[in-house]
Amino acid sequence: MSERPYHKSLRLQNFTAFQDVTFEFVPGVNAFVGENGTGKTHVMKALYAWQLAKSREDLDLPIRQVLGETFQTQDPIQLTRLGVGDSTVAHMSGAYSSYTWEYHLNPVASPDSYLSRKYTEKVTRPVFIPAIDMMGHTRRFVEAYDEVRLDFDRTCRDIVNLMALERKNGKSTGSPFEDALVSLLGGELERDNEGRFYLVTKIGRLPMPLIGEGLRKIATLVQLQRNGWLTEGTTLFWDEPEVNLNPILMDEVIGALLALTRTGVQVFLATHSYVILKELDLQARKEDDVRYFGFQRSDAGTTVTATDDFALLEPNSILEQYDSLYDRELTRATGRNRNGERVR
Amino acid sequence: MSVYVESNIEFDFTAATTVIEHDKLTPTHSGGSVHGNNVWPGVDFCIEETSGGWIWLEVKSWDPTRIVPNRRGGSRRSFICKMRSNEYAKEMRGKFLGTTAFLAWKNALSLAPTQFVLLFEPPHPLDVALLGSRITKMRSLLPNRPYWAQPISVAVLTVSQWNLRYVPYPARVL
Repeated sequence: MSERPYHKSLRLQNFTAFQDVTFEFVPGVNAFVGENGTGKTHVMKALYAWQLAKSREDLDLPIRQVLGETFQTQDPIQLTRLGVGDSTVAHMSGAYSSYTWEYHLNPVASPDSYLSRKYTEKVTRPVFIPAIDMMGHTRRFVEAYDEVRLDFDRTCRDIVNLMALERKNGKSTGSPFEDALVSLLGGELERDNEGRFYLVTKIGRLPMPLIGEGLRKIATLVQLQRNGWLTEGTTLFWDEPEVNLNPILMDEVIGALLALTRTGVQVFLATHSYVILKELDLQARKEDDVRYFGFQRSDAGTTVTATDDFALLEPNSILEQYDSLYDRELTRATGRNRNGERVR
Repeated sequence: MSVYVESNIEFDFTAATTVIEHDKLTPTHSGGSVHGNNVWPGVDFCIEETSGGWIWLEVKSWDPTRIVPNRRGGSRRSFICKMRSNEYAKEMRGKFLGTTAFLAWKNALSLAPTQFVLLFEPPHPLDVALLGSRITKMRSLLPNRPYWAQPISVAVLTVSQWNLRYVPYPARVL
């Protein structure tokens, strides 16, 4: 029996915020933590672009085009880390299941080079949920994007497309993941002929724009699952799940994500939320794979450390901020700072 | 030396002006005149500082030495569960009110600023975010302060944090 496919590693050289960084991923949840501008989303987009270009859904897209659209750049060469070293070439390489690949993003004048080795299985189509909600903006969005190149990145187009598109032979028959999220929604999803979504509840059929954006995120996951895009062997990238989502829902959402990984879906999260990270820490079972990646800026580009123990994550910019808040709270409450000096 | 032990934590309150120890009938040291309270719910220690302010200190420490080894796992879990429950927060409110009532009854309630401190030593290190949320919870359960009452501040901290802030009253885990 072959191993289910997942991203095992990624190396980025001279690529956006990174000079030379290697990631080793787990098949379960990979959580990226770091300040704004350290490149968390870029890593997810790099993986997404490669996987989408190589996916078995017969998209036949050149990786250079997908990179440009995913990063919303006029020219993908802008992804080359500027002003560092003498290289004008960005390199991406990685391992996806037993499949290794390399991609060199050359200046416009030169052709890109793509090398892959040990091809043993087809690559599944990835799912990327962007930080901004798209569930309330589905009507004719894909057509408009394709026709006039709307100023959105490709992940917005693709998520709308997947919400409308049923995967061939992939329709879900329900799962604990779906059940947990449907109960949060408090209603059933419906889609009309023009592509608008509705939530049908006891009080009526509510158009998605009338639903809270946090619930729209949950509805997005439910719809993707129902269309068969979140099944064994697929990859889910979710950029800042905490956006518009009340922390009180995180318990259920993270529980559902962990349930999803147990069905064979690899998950990548970029987050600024302590609640998400702590929920992962508390809810993960021994058999679950969860890895935390700490991103930090340096003169030599972003550096990244990884750990499977949340308590050992270093740097942890989120916890550092809580530490600062706690320190100031104690100083106010005790009238003393952390050096024992009295303060007013 | 004026050393006190609560649970598995030892405090040196030599630098304090007055110490009232809950559940003890022994007099306070340094000339204090109030005997302890063994009837009303109350905090473990009321400490009067040389500045005139008070610290009302409640100690909650998981003490493995008092638990037989094969029950430590369950005890560890029940300690954490209790600490995060609303019942526990209500217990802290009861202790605060009990101490207030007791001191008022003894005509010893000071109107000086008072720090209501929970020294919390859990079996596993707790994120500061969770300690911070306990402060907010405890503050929310304290009664509204009448205009004439003493200003109250609330802190939840560990032994190491205590030693950083309250240098004159060192504490150690036994």
